[in-house]
Amino acid sequence: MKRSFNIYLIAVLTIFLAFLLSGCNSGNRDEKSSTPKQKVQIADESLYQLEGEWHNQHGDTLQLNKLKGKIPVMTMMFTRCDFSCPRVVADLKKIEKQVPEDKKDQVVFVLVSFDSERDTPDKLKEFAKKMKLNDKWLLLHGDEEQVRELSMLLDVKYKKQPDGSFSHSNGITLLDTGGSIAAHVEGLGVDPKPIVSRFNDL
Amino acid sequence: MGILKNRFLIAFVLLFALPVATVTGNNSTKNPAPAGMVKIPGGQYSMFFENKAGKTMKVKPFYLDTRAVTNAEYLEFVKANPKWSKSKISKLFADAGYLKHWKGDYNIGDAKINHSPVTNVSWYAANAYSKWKNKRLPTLSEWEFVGNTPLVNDKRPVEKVILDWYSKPTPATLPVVGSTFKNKLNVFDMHGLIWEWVYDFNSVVMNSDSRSNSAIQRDLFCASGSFGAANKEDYAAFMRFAFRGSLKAKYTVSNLGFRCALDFN
Repeated sequence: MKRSFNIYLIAVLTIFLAFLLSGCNSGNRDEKSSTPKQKVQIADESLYQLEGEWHNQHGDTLQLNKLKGKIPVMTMMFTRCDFSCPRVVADLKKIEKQVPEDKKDQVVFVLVSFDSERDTPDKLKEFAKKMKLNDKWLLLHGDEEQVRELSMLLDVKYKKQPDGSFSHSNGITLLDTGGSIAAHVEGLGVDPKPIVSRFNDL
Repeated sequence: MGILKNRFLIAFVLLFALPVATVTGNNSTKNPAPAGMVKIPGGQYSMFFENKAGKTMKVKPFYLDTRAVTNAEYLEFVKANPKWSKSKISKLFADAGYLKHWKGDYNIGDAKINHSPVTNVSWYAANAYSKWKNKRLPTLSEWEFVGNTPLVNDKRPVEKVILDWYSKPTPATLPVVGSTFKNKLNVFDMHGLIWEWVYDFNSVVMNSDSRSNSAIQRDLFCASGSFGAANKEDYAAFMRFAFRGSLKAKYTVSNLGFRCALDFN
């Protein structure tokens, strides 16, 4: 009894600590609610400042700023993922159905793989085919360090497991045309409204 | 943060902790380490949690800075890379507190802290500095492996030392690097000076295919009955993991700095 009480106590204290720490920074973390920047040049909070090179499912090399002017809906996954990744794709497809007619040319869906080792462009292409993804979908492979950096920016947690799979959180991030974060939702099967409702002002 | 630690004082001093990790390995150091670094022999390490099946992490040999990066050292980096100066830093890569204890872009302002650890730096900044040095940030496993190594200048168990440190407020002026505890791997200040960024601090997720982003919180904080922690009494480790879990890469904190690592070939 005493032991479980101690655990309980520590859990409460730890949450309290996390709460306090996050409170310290509350003034600096409202990127989600910031107004979208329509500017064509790179905004100060644009992800297009990242200079790393990625490979898509067609084997092309590109930088993220290639998406400038588009409205990307981004998530991270890996193709050998059995459970959550197909569901994330399903969530994105749900969003795809709700893209307004006049934004259809601009909205793109970007899946970035955690699996730098195994998710080669060929594998990504195979996955795109299996999941019946059209040409609005961009599947990206990058080196381990780029992927880690992007995960920080997209607020995704992940860890490679000894068996080569990845444990990871799930999040969908919407970028504006300048590459700044316009909206973000976390979890699987969540209401995509925060994303969908933003399409019209981007 | 000082106040924060005080708040935990009573709670933590009353509790006691047992070692969380068993660090094994041998100490052969035939190849000289780069200046300011020491070779960390690899070994097995019982991760604080994710330990439901008695899983141990393998840590490969690597080099680690014996001390945290100082203000003076960081100034050299900023001078060589003006885009990381206070006024030029991108909002994407650091919050408004970035280097707030410095007087200007290229001016630390107080010579007393030249050799104190640099703090108020984001993960991106720490990562960029490491790259500039042709080094990298240590991984979480590497850091924990070294951090759980017994001390040479203090007989108390590491956890006890940490809790005593956590219970004290952060001093207004951080002491110089190398002034606190030294461990058996000849690494200084893993505890007792500052918290430190690790490369994959955002890797704390519980299960493969986590069903929601709150998986970590659920497992860490609420499901005490089915708890996966290696040692439920190591409150110091709880604190570290909770702290890391609360961070975002652009955050800056006045007692959070870093040290660099390097692959061992």
